[in-house]
Amino acid sequence: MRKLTFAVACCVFSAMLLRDPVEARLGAQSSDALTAPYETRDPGQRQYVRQGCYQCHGLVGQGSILSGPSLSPLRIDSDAFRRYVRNPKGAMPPYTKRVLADADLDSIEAFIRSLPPGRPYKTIPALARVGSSSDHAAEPQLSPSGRAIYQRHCAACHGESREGGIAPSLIGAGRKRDVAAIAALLANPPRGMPKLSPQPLTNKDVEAVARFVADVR
Amino acid sequence: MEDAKYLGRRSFIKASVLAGIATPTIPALAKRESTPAPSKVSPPGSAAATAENGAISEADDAPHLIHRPGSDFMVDLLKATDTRYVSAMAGSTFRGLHESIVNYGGNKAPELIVCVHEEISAGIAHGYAKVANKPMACLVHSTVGLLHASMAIYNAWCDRAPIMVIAGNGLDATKRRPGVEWVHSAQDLGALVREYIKYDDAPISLQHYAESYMRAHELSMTPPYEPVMIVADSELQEEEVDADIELRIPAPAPVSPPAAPPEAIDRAADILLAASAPLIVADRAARSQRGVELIVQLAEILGAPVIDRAGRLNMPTTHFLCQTSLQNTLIREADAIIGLELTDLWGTINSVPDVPGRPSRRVARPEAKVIGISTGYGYVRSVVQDAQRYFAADVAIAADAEASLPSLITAIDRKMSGAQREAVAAKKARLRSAYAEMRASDAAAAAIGWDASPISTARLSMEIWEQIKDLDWGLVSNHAFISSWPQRLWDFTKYHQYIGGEGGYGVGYGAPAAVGAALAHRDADRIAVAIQCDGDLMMLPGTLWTAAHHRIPLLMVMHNNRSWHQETMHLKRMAGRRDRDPHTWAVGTTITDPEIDFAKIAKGMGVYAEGPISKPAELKGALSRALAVVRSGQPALLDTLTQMR
Repeated sequence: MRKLTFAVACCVFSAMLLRDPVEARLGAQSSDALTAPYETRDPGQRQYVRQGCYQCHGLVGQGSILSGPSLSPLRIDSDAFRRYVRNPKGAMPPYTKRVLADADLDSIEAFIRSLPPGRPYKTIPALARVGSSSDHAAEPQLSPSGRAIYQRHCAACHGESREGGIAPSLIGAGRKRDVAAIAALLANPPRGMPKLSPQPLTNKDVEAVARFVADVR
Repeated sequence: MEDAKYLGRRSFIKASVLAGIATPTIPALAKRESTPAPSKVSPPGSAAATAENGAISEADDAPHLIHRPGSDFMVDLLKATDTRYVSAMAGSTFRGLHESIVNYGGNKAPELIVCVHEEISAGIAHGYAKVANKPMACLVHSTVGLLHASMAIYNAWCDRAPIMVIAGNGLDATKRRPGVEWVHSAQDLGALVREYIKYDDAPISLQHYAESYMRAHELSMTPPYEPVMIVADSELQEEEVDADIELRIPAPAPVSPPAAPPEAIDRAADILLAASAPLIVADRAARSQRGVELIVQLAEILGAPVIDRAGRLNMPTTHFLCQTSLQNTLIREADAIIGLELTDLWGTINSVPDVPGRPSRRVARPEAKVIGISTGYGYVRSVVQDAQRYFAADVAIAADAEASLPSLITAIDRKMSGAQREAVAAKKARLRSAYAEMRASDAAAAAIGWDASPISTARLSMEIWEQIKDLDWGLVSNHAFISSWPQRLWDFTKYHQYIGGEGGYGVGYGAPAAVGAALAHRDADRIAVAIQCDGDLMMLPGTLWTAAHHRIPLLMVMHNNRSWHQETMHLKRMAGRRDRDPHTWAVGTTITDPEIDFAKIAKGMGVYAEGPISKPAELKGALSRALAVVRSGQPALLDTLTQMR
């Protein structure tokens, strides 16, 4: 056993000696070592870090107004997710199959879908106070406005200002479809778009958000 | 040696030294006979020295003393302008003024704030000015010192912040000792920074110095506020002021800021009153609490939401018309937009996404009318491109926004019809509701990752807020790097509670500006808090020593994401567009392997510190302990490992 250990050690040492010194120096700056502090044992999480997804979307998918939308929860199906990652819009870089194999993309998706959703903010005392801390504001209406519903359920894909993103722009959508047609689309969404009605959106919510999208006040 | 007795004593000493003889009074021969000659030349005895230099005259016994140096008068000027602090790293070209501040001035108003790098000196002055609302002086050594300070001066210039830079220099070449004094002198020192200061002069007499100093001070505090520089010649500092010269301190003459002319105000009021969805966008508009109150008045009379671009605190975040988080939507919906002291009016109305080809597109409605009020229309430099892209506003007013708002509000009030007042009243309920939904939406976004480790920036912000909200506080760091959580979640109501950011986006601003701002807050008995980026602190970690040395109470909580995070995204974007190695972005953008222990660095500088803290549950206790240190009058640092943004 001792001989075997010695032999292995000799092999490793010889390999180190044979290694190109330039390569050895670059090894000191290997990307694996540099990103190791961000990684866990979850292979999907590791890919999520190494592919740089976390840079814009956060290590727990929380997103940032400065960089990228929250991915928690991921509101689109697997097909739409894959299509978007391969050929994204805006500032997000494309991920071809050459740099990100299908299997690795699957593991990233699995990791994102495993992320716990945010706790309801009203269960966190400090945030609950923010939601009702204004000196001047009215209490939120019992039925949230179309704009608020849009921000909560639609903005992640269609953009905060309806400018588009993962999903098409909705600016000027009211010129193509009236409120009823937009509401019908929400009730029976096209491929890739999540079904939001009757849950989590009620018929009243659907109408409110359709009016907002159609610019009808 | 026989001939020695025939030499004069002076010639003998010279001859002896040249011959390597140790003791000229002892004949070399005799010396050889007794002991070997020592290898070193001993100094001559007193008799020999007298012979060499001549006898010291009783009449010349009084040393050459300078009883009334010019630099004392320079201190009088600092006091005359109520300059409480002078930041400096010692340098020989201002040794005269340095000594005068300490001894003649008593090191009190102004007090010397000792720095270990001139960029820290200027950064401290930058942060101080934004809280104290007046400049402090920043004393720098010629050439090398000024070049070190130049980065921070540039930030202050872009940020429209006043600094009184006083630079030592030795102009008279015949007075310079050979070597270093030549490379630490400049024929035209101002040329090194002239493109990003408002005014400089190199006075050649003390009265000239006094008048230029007062002019510089006045210009720095006339909007747009800017850094200014006076060169303090070494000879002027160090030489005696002739007794028959009567020096005068010119009276300060504060200049009224430029206000908009009535016809421009009328046109702006007409556009805003004709709009159904007017919008106010403010950046460095407020210069005081009065400015904040005026923006509130304008918003209320128009029923217009405000986007606070946060160059300063312009709008209380508790007010229902402060709707910054809705800015992308508001810009698209507005039919009249008034920009108040915007860094970038074009970029408010248009955008250039970072995609290949970088296409420009207008974001605002095509028919939306745009009004710009800014001193920037009358103040621009060619070398630095901070003027941003040209934009043809419908009404462009070269005036100070805060000074112009009273007449604009009055004009709107005068012209407003009863129907218009009813329309404003009618939409307030909708605006209140939009505000409440915005706050709730921000709170919901903050809840994602609340329990994550490393700590989410939202959690970090709110844990700090919970500890300071009942105190008199000021946030002295740029909140943009942490997704603007403080702006979205904290209750900002006072002008001094937020001071904006770098101005020039020069990394290294954060720590010194926070210390300078904390110094001003200390004088007002307030608690200063900075959320400090790791990359920024690594630029000028010596700032911590200054904070400890001067007992400046500052709670510094690290936003330690172990990277220059903005750059990680740029590198990833480049590699992605080029279809290249997806993982190399970490090289040159991450600060890992090894990870930096900021608590150890801080402790080494004499600052109370804890960390690294990566679990959110540990934050509350650590913050409480650190805050107790700060409330006792000392700085404290918590190294917290955080999410990226």
